Amino acid sequence: MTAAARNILIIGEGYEPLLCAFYLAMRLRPLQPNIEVVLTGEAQERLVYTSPRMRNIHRELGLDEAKFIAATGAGLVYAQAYHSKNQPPRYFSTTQYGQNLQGINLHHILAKLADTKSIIAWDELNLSAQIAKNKRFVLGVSNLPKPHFEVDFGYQIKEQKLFEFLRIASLQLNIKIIQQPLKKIEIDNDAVREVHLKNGVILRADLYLDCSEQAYIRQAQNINYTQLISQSYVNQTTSIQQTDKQYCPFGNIEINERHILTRYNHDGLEHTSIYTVNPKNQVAYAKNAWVSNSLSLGKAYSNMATLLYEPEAQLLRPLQRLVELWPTTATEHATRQAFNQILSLEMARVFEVTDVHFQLLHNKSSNSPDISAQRLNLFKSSGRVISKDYDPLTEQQWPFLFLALGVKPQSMDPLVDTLDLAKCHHVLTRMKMTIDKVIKQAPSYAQR
Amino acid sequence: MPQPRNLVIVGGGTAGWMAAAAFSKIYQGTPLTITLIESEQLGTVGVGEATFPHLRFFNDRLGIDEKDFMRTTKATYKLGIKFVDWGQIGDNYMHAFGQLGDEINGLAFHHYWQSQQAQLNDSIFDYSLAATLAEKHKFEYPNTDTLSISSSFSYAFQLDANLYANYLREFSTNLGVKRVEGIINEVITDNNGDINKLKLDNGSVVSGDFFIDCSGFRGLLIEQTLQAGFEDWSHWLPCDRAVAVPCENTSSIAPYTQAKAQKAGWSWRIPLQSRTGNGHVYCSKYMSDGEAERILLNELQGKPLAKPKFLTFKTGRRKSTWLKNCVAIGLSSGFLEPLESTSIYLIQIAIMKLIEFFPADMATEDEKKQLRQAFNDDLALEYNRVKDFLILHYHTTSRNDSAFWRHCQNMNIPTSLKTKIDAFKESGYIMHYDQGLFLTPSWISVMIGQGMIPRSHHPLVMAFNPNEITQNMASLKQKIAQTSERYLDHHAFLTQNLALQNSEKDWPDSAMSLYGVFS
Repeated sequence: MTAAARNILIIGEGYEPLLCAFYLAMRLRPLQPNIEVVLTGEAQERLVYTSPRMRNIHRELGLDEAKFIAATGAGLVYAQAYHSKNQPPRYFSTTQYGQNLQGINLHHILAKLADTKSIIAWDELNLSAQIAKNKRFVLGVSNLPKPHFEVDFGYQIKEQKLFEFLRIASLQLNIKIIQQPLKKIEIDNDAVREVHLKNGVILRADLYLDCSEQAYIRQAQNINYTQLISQSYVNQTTSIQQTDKQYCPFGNIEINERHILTRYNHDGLEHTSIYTVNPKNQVAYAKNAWVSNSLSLGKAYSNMATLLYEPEAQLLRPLQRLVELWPTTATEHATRQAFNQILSLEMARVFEVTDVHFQLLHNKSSNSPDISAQRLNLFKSSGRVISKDYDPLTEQQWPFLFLALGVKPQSMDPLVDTLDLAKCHHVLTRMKMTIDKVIKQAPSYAQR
Repeated sequence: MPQPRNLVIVGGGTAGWMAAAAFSKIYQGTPLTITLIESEQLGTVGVGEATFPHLRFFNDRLGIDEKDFMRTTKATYKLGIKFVDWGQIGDNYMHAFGQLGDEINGLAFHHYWQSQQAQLNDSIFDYSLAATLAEKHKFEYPNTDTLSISSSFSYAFQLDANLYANYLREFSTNLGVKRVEGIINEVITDNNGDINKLKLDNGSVVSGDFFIDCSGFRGLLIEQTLQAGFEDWSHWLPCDRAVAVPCENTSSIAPYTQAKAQKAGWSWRIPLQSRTGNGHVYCSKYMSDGEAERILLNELQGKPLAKPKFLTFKTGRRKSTWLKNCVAIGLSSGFLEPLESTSIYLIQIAIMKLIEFFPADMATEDEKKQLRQAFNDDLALEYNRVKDFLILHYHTTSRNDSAFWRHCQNMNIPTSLKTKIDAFKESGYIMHYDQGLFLTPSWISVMIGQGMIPRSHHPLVMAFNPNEITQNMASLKQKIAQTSERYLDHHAFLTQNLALQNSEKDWPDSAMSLYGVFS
């Protein structure tokens, strides 16, 4: 048996390298890894937001969610509210909407019911979306069947608080944290040989992880991003403001003709980002995340911001995969190639979720076909959806993301003609009443 | 009010009647009319006597009573496929419909199994309840309690495909499907290239809005008329002939299909209630028809019940399965040898995908284009993944006793498969996906079954307490052995269960999954 890689060096700024270090220290605990983190930049005053998948990571690591929330002051994000001109907000949650009946997707059934004037709004059939919309506080409902009535949420956390939580937790796990700028990285045949810090210290490891915005290792290796992301050329500007607005249990996404705006509001901060199409800023990701003895993750992996999936998609998911095939001294090209292929596919799927948002902008740069354009066109024309390997959204969720984005299909599944509409209406109305009852009894989010 | 639409199915074999049954049931009560044209003169190939657990899901959607179906199609239960002489002569393994060990500390079981081989020297298949039951010829329904080890497997059927087609014919015609007897002489297309009429040998004309081509290898509509084109895969899967013969049952009925590697191909054995189906798939470049027939007849366990029947095929698939207003299903859409019993599954998945993407009556050209693309992409993925999985069996053999096997070992394989094999060989890592028929447990079964042991296992395994690992593994193995002892003999269960007339449903719910009672 060959020896496992045990010495790990992580480079980056803010909470991200600490999150990587913490995750690896917990998952690789039996290997007793030596983990060092080089922090090249400070945590900023901004909000970090996550999808509900972050909770799965907590469960995987055996973390106490209540303690995490208390320690970081995290707020809950039950849904995203999509705004567009002259229309009420539409709430998208990654939990199930109502239920499909007789194998027919719910949105087709609702469209058919709307034809008969029996109108039930699609977001009224999602408990998490209604909790968000009504600004309620619910941690779970044990007496109602899942997945039809599911409460799930991501977090919004001040980065500095998350940083501090991770810093303390990392120290408890014997992770060495060094706050120091880099001087240079020695590369030999794409392999990182040494990392030189400005104070003269030289660090060596079996495996190097880079999640820095500057992509230090990739730059030193002189490897460019090679995998372009569809037609999106996106520029992001962010503003952080102190605010006295109320706590808000959802994120906001506003889609205009020429830009997308996201806004989160938590703990006295309002975090706003504006994304515009900018042909000078080509969005791409690394064809190979794992090169020799180094991996590029997060911002070092791609310059694309994921509207809905930061940070678990770009940091923790790759780390989960990495742990699945943790390297030994015998690890060679084949394993890295497998990892890179899988990661590339997974990241492509994540980016597609973001990309469909940009497909709706009027000045998107090109019309050439790709999977997000195919998804969008298929839904627009027929209300149908496709599912692919590693999709972050299920076949049931995709239609509701499109509806949240304001895309309405031109036709529906012909199978709706086989439905007993009165029965469907009855089933769905009962679901809506059950949700209404939970909302009525729940305390307000501000009182949590 | 929707317009009436006419769906025309060409060909009445397994594919044709499965399509007719599904559409007539699911579109029951709508103005969709369904006509199926078949000819007694032409006959059918009768593909796939062995099936996958997904067929239970199909039958459930149709509301078919499982016991009635089994009695009518002379079906037996199936827990997997036993591969004999594949890795090397004398080896065998079971690709079973179930889990292979349990994940421990978030790591796949095969890493632990590999780490213990110096001490244990046992078979990984001892950690599969489905494989153990199959080897012991035992069968009972899986348990739906997910905490029970008895929920760790699923089951399929071994059936008479012609009887299944007849069964579905009755089912479909009862639901209003119009059966037309005749041979198609001419296919008439409109200015856009869409098919709109079929002229039959008796002078009658059948018009339709949408056509399903189940005409078999020749692809009367999809190829002869629409010229979809064929992607030839025979350089990867070189077998091109088969000879089949049924024989009497002689011994205990096995709840599995057997696939035995031969000098230039492989032979199958599929036990039904009343007979056993046998066949020999071979490569004509390396073996004559006469030799193939001799091998087949020599290995029959019982008296032959018919004359051997020969079949010629070319492995591959249509470049487009849905072209214009025509979808090819079954042999007209492509052919992959029945090594993993995938024929009926590929028919089923095509039907289900067509239902998923079936165009609305007023669909625009753009909508139809989008739907065709989605359908064709999905079907291409299914075929490609099955193809890779089949090639795996041939390529990863250690046999060098014949020119055929030496060729298979040394042939170029698709990059997708090569990457997967290389990663597994190096670190035991399975590049998994979630679409398609064969997922991680199947890949592990065949790779390890064929004798492919990774150079290293996951390093975390060694970091856990070795005594704990040994105890965990021993306990699982013992639990499986003890549980399997409590199960009934397959034959006894079959006899007892099928004798129950008009019983309430007692079989477990179905799922589109190969490895357990839940998806």
